[in-house]
Amino acid sequence: MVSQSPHPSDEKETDLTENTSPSEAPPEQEAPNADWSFRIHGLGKCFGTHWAVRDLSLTLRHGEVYGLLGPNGAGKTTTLRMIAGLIEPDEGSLQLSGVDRDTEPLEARKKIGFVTGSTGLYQRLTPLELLHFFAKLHELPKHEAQRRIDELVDVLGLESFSKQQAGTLSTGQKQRVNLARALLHSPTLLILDEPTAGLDIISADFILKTIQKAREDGRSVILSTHILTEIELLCDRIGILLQGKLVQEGTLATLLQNTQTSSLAQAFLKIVQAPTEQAPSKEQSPAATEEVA
Amino acid sequence: MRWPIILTLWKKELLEMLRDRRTIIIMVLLPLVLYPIIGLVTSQAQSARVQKLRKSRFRIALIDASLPEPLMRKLLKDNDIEHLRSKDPWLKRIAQKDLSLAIEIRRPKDHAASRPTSSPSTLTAKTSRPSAQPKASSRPSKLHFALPPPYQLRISYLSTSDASRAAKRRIQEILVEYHKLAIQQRLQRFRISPNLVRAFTIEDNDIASAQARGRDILSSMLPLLLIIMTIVGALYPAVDLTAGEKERGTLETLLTAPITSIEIITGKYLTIFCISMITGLLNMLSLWFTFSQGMRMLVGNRKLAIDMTLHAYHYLALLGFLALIAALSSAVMLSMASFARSFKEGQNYTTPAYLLCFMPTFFATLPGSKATLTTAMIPFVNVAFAIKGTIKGDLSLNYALLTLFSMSVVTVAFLKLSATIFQNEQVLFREGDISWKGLFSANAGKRLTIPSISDTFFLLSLQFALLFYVGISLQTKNIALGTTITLWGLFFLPAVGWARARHFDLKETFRLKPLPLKNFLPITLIVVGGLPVVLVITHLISAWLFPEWGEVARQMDKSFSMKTFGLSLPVFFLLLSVSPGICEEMVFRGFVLRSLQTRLKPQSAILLSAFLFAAFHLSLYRLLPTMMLGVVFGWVCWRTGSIFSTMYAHALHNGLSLAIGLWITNKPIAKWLFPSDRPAYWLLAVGLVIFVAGVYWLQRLSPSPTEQRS
Repeated sequence: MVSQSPHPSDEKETDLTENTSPSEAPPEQEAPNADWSFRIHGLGKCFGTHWAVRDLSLTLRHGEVYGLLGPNGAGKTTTLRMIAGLIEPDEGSLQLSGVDRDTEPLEARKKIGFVTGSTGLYQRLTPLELLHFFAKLHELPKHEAQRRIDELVDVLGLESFSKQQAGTLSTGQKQRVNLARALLHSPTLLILDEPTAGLDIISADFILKTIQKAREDGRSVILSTHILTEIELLCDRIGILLQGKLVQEGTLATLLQNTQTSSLAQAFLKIVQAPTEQAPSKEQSPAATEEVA
Repeated sequence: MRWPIILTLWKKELLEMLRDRRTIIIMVLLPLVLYPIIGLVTSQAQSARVQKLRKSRFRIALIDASLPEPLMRKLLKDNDIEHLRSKDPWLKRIAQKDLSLAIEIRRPKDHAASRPTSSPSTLTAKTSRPSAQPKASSRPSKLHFALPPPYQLRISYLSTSDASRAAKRRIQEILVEYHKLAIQQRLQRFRISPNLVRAFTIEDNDIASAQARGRDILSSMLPLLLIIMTIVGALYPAVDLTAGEKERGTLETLLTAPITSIEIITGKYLTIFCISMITGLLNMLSLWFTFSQGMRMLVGNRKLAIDMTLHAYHYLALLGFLALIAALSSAVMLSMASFARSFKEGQNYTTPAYLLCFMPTFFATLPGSKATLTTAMIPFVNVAFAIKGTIKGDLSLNYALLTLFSMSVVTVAFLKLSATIFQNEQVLFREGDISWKGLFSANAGKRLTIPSISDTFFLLSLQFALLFYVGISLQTKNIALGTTITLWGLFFLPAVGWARARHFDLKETFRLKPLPLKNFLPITLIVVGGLPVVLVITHLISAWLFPEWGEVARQMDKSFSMKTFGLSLPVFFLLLSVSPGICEEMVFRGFVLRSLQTRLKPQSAILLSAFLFAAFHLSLYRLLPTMMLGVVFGWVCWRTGSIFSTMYAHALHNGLSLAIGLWITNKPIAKWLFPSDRPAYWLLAVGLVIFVAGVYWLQRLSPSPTEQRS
């Protein structure tokens, strides 16, 4: 599916921020090569004639939490789906701890855990059955699978409802099961697309603590959410996606400094509402991008 | 493909499906409980109704008539008799079900005139004496009786009323019985043996054993039911496992696991197959049991005249055919349901597929329908015949193998389609309403200037319906006017109208590009050379493939004469050569071919458009030759990029064919050009040479087609 890109990027080893940040943004400090766990380069996805995401490069360190922000239709979900291997990018490459997605797609998926706010659970399976099912799909050895499941049931507090069919669980409980499912195979990279959408404050807090724990375990996390406080609280770096392009990237402090604002919300609005020349793909109408993203 | 993974997927899907109440209801409850209940209730209700009718007293009217005493007594035993006059509204009362029936007695006119009687209409068993007593020595041929002509009884009843029908049956039995008695009495009066009026007696002797009778019933009923139920069994799980999963958001979860789409689809397919198979099996057993149990209940302790037992090898063969049905229906349902985004949408796609799958199998259950080479190639119909043959014991191994082959090929094709659909991101993650353009066209999202495949699909569906429901009946009433309306009103106008309504670029859609004059000569060569080729192929087809259709074809050829059309020569040619050239080309080489090229390679697009062109001629016998013409026209059009090239080619071809029919067929030269016993191979060779020369020349003139796959 990877087509020949009309905009090939030959600079494989260049600093990631050079490609992604707009001219004003100073380049961020990049993680040393040996330390990176995840790297995408020149990623792009075209739906029909519209590029939903274009020329996206990103590198994440072990234990780094990266916040992906953007207005509706900016291409966040498409980006995350490409990284998770749900849809094939039309251009670009993706590497995970030394595994190239193009040559070893299944191996790459084994290193990724993916949770979205709308991820469903099998209504007629219990959390335990679900976890055992996914353990088999990940080809975990039996004893290893049992150990991981016991551990996750304990850590995520699934014990009280582990034998109840998922259809009877609350939204918060379901999301915890989903997290357990995503962490089951000890992924290197955890992708979370609005994981706290629709959750009450207690459940949301539980999810955030789990993300914290994942960071401590050395996992890289990409978090996409509309709740900016979560980003402020958790993320080491923040990237802002607009019309399929990464227009700003850096730590919270850098973003605030670049935009001359005092809060992430203000910074975000300033970037998103900036004159269109800031957006690199101005020839595309926002409506069209929204439609395909 | 990793089979342990597929097995894991299959186990999980099956567990989930079995925990779903709806599956259990359709798969187990419906056949195991519902059929026996329906069977018992309906059979008992039916027998109760029959009993009730048998015992009920019917109200019968005698119109202006009286009946002899013994007959009246018999009638009065179980019925109420009313004497009415002919002017009374008795017909209305029968219609209102107030009367069950009415009997009128009509006395023959001549007899009534010659022999006035005191009672106006009295039917008696008496006869007038013979004018001459037969003597013992006389020969029977000289016997002469002055017998009155028979009375005429008319029974008026209402066939749509159960009670009226039952009354009619009862009265008829009584009358027939009485009639026999009357004859017997007459004969007795003259001491004549009843054998005088009885040349022979008839006795039924059905040599079919109880078992054969049972199998005959089973063979007519089982195939259709088995096919319907097995497809139904596949329908629900297919929708649930694909569209249902998308709706519940679990498919995304599954796709993040390190498994391939092929493994997922195989796991799902196996699950649907199993459930479909179990549903079919339980339905078969339950129906068979309900039926045989019902028979047993009906006859009580008497020996059954129908025996439905089957042997082990029957069951084994049925199981094999069941597996074939389940395999194909699961693949069909899976591919249809994979398109859908929600459960409801899934049902919208699978229901027409379900109807298309089982409707043709009705053909197999028609009395007198025979298993042939053609039926062996039609999926589901072939299995229906094979099951029928298995039960009756006349299934040939060849037929079974052909069935296996045909079903397997189609199953594999649908599985491949399912896999393709399942790997399509647009199908998996699309949001909003279905965009067929997005699925089948590379132009998704772009403002279209030429029709897409879905436009062609809808236009041709509309035109087919118009042709079938309007065109054919118009042509039957008035062939010349009907053909004109069909060509211009049902082909040309809808195609142009559709393109205009959708704001397509008409010039590009219909390739309205001027054609350089130098192109006309090679096209003429192609058509002139191609004509004998088409004629020879038509001849071969009629001789080898459809010998029985030769006559039909000859009749059809005759119908294309100026006489049947009642037109003058120029108008005849204008209608049958120029008009088709313009109208059919605008549709098939313009609209259709152009749209197919948006998605298919030129070769495939030309082939498919040619097939559609041939299919619209509604003749199986002409399918292949017409398709070949379609290919030639398609190629010419694609090569020159102008619709006028193919309009000219089509008109020229039709004109030449008509000219042959008008001026050559009945001349001596025809025997030489088109011998009836074998095709003129020399003509084929000459034609081919001219044809190839034309093709080569045209290729030289337009070296590379202007349009590529867009």
